[in-house]
Amino acid sequence: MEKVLVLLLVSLLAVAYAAPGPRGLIINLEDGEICLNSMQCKSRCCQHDTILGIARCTHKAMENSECSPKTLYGIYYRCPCERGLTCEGDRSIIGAITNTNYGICLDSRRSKQ
Amino acid sequence: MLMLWTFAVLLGAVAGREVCFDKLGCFSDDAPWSGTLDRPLKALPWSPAQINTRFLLYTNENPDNYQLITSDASNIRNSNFRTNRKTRIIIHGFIDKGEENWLSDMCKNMFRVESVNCICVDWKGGSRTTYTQATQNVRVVGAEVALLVNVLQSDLGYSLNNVHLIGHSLGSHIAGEAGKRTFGAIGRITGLDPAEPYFQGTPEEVRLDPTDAQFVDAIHTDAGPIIPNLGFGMSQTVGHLDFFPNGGIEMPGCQKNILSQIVDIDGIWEGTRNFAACNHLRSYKFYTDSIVNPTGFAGFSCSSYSLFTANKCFPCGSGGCPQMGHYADRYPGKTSRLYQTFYLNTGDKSNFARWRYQVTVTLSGQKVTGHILVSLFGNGGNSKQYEVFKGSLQPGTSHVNEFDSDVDVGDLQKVKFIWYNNVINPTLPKVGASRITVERNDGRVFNFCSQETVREDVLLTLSPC
Repeated sequence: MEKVLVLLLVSLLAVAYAAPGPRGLIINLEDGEICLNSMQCKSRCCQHDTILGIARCTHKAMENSECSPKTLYGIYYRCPCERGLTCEGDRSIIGAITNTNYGICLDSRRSKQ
Repeated sequence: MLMLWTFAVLLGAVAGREVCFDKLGCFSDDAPWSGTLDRPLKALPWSPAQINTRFLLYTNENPDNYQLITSDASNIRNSNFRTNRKTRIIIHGFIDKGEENWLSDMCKNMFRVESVNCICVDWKGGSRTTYTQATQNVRVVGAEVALLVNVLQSDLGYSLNNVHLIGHSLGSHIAGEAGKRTFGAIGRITGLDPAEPYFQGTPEEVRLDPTDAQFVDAIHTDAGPIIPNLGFGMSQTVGHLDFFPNGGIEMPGCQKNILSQIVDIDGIWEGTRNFAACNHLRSYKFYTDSIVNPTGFAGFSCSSYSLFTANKCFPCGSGGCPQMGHYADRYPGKTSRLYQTFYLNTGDKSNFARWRYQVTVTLSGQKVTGHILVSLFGNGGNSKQYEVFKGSLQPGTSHVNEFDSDVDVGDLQKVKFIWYNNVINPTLPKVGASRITVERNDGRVFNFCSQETVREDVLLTLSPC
């Protein structure tokens, strides 16, 4: 099943390369487009639901919603926060390794008060 | 050559053919059905046995497994059909089938908000052929739907006021045909992007029009011309209310690169459908989402989409805004005029509902160049940050903009303001908003004030004045 999917993806990629679509495949990707790293996305967040799942460009997390701090991986289960917000939550070494240090987006200013 | 063609058409018109079916009546290949400028090819509809129209009944008692019903009163009585409920009949379009997920998903959403008889019409026997033939088969399927509806009325004492036909693409015109055969007595017809080829500009007896039911509404999502846009839906208005979401031609989220389009969130099959006809299929997705979002699809009365995007059509008029989709019939002015047009913006994926706000920001602090973002907080939740202005930020100036929030914030309680400019600012300038006014689409205005200023990338909270 996975092999079939991979083969299909490779075929699709070949087709896309041979006949370029209206948009690029690598950079300046819009929300909903498939990505491998957050730098490719206009929104600066490449998000997937499972470690092997397909990742897509997604809007950053808004205030009071779930988030992750920024990591070097460049790909997230939960997106980092919008401007002016901090991802507040418990941190752990294992969480940092598995990219599961989730938190809630809160106003950075409020945190200081 | 023109003379030869004219002669051939005239000859064809003289020698008309006709086919008759038991209970359904006769169908000819005369004008305006074929042999016209819009429909040059001569064709007759297929027989009901060949098309094999089926009615798949879902109810709140059997939401996952349909019951097959026919135009026979005892068969209907033995089913889960309830005469004390509304009946909504969903009709698919060209190449599609009645057992496709989107029809049963639409039924399931209805079961979340009401008790209803939901019937999915399956006419794949007549839709999976050449387009020309399918447009003729539309008449027979329309007659079959009309027959079912008439049996409900005559044998079960069911009121036609409670019948709602929902057709996508060619299904819209099937609904129109069924409506005509019941002389416009059906309560409501919704056309989900009525098909353009062979129907645009044709006489009213051929296509969906406002006289087909007591109330007719339409959603246009693929209204560009066939050449060069490959637009499959009508740009022509066909109902009492016609909605043109996102302008009705290109839907947000339909411009992804080819790989992202086909590898869809809902699977490869759905992605392939989207790749082939993304704009066209959006109409039924909007309708499905509108069922569970009673206020999320407010349409603004406007003479064009460009005026709407220029923020000239906000807020709603005195009668409020009609809701595109399921709740369009709650609009008080729904049948006051024909061909009322409405514009709105939607999201780029499910949930497509959006709530429009107008924001006026009066700046304070220092003068810089940059971007302003605003987020709204209310008793219904809080919104994302939306960019309201970019350019020179001068104290004392006001900037007005509208945006479509994906959250219904409700009654506003506070607003947050933030600015940035992606430039190193050695003087650490501070900018604030002395006043932010937010207007909701119902015209209600909320005012927020602050005396503070903030540095780049720091949020400023404004409280009610």
